Amino acid sequence: MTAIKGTKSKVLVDEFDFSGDTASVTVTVGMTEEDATTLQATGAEYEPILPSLKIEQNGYLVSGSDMESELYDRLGVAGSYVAALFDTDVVGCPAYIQETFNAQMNIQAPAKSLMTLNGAWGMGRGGHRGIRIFDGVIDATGAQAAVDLGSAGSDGGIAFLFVQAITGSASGAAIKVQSSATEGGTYADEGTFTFSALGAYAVALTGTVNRWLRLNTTGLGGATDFTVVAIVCVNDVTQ
Amino acid sequence: MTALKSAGNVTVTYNSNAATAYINSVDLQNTVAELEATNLSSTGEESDAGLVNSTLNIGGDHNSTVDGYFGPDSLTGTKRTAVIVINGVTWTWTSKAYITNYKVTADAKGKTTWSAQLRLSGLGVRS
Amino acid sequence: MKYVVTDKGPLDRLPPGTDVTKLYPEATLHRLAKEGYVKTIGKAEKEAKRDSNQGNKIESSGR
Repeated sequence: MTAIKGTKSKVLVDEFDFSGDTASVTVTVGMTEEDATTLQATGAEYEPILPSLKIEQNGYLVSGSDMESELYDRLGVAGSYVAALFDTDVVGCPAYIQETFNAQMNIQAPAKSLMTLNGAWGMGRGGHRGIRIFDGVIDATGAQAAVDLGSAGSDGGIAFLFVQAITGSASGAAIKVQSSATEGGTYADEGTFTFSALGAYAVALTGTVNRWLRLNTTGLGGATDFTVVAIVCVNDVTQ
Repeated sequence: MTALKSAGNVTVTYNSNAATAYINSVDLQNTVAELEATNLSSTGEESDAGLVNSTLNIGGDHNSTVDGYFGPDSLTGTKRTAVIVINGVTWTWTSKAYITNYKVTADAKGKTTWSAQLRLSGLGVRS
Repeated sequence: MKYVVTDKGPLDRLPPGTDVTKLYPEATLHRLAKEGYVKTIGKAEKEAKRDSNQGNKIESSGR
C-alpha cells in the first residue's frame, strides 16, 4: 500500500479553507466505556458509552491570512462547523466534521524561527464522519457527478455544505442532495441547502438514503457561480 | 531457535476486513488483574489472579480504505469480530471488539497515519 | 418469517442475504421491504410455493 502524503488533507472552518496555513491536523475519536463484567464471566467485559471528536490543527501565522482573526473570533464562541478531510485526491474521501467552538489558541514566536499558531476545537455538539461528494465550482443549475458510498443507509444522517466563495451575489441559492440505488437510476431528494451568504450549512437526512449521492443545483440565486464543498454523513454507513 | 520477525507472521481482521496491509504495528495486551490476597499471616505480599483484560493497539499508514474499516465504528462503539493471528496462533473476539480511540494525523512534511485502540471485551478464544 | 437484505443492498453495510429480522423494528422492516431493500423469506415463501403447486395438480382416473 502506498502511503498518502500528509499534504493530501484539508481543514475547513465555515467558509474558510485553512489548509494553506496548517502544518498538521489530528482528528481523535474517543469512546468512554464502563465495566460490565458479570458473574461467571471468563474475562473482564466492557460496554462503550459515549463518543467524542476532537480536531487539532497546528500551523503558521501567514501574512495576509485571516486564520488568526477567525480563530480568535471563534474562541469560546459556539456555532462553527469544522471539517478535517483526508486522502483528498480520492473523489469520495473521508471527512470528520463537528459543530463546535475554538477551545485553544496558542501563538508562539521563537526568535530564530517562524511564528506558529496551534489550536484545538472543542468537542462541541458531537462529531460526524462522512464522505465528500463534491469540491469545486458550480456555475449552472443541474446535477453534479454522483459518488458511491458503497452501501445504502436505513436511518438518515446529515449533510454539510461549506460555501467558500460566491461570484456576484446569491439570494436564496438552492442546492439539493439527492440519492439513487444505482449511478444512472432515478434520484430522490434527500435535503436542500438554501443560502445567500458564505458559511457552512447543515441539513438533516431522514429515512433511507441510497448509496449513490450527488448535488443538484436548482437555483443560483442570481450569482454567477459559487465554490462549495459538500460532505454527506449516513448513519450506519459512514458514521 | 530463531526469533521471529513481525512482517508476514501477524494478521489482523476486523469486521471481516483484512486490515493487515494497513497496519505496521500490533500490540495485543492481555493483562490479568491481581487481586490483593495479603493477610495477617503472610510473610510477603500475595495476590490471586483476577480476570483477563484485553486491548489491541494498532496503527499504520492511513488512506480512504482503512478509514472506511475503522472510522464509522469509532463514533458508534459498535461491537465487531476481531481476529488476530500471531505466528499461526489465532485469537478471536466474536462480536466483542470496539474502538475506544481512533486517531488520524496528517503532517504536511510526512505521511498521513492512523492509530486505534480496540477494547476486546471478555476472554478471547485462542486456537 | 425472516427478513433478508436484497440485491439492492448492501444496506447499512450489511451485504445482500444478511438476516436482518432482529436488527430493525417491525415498522422499519415494512418500510425497507416497500423500498425493496429487504424481502421476506420463510413462511411467506412456503405459502407462495404451495399456491403455485396447486396449479400443477394432475388428475387421473383408473378407467
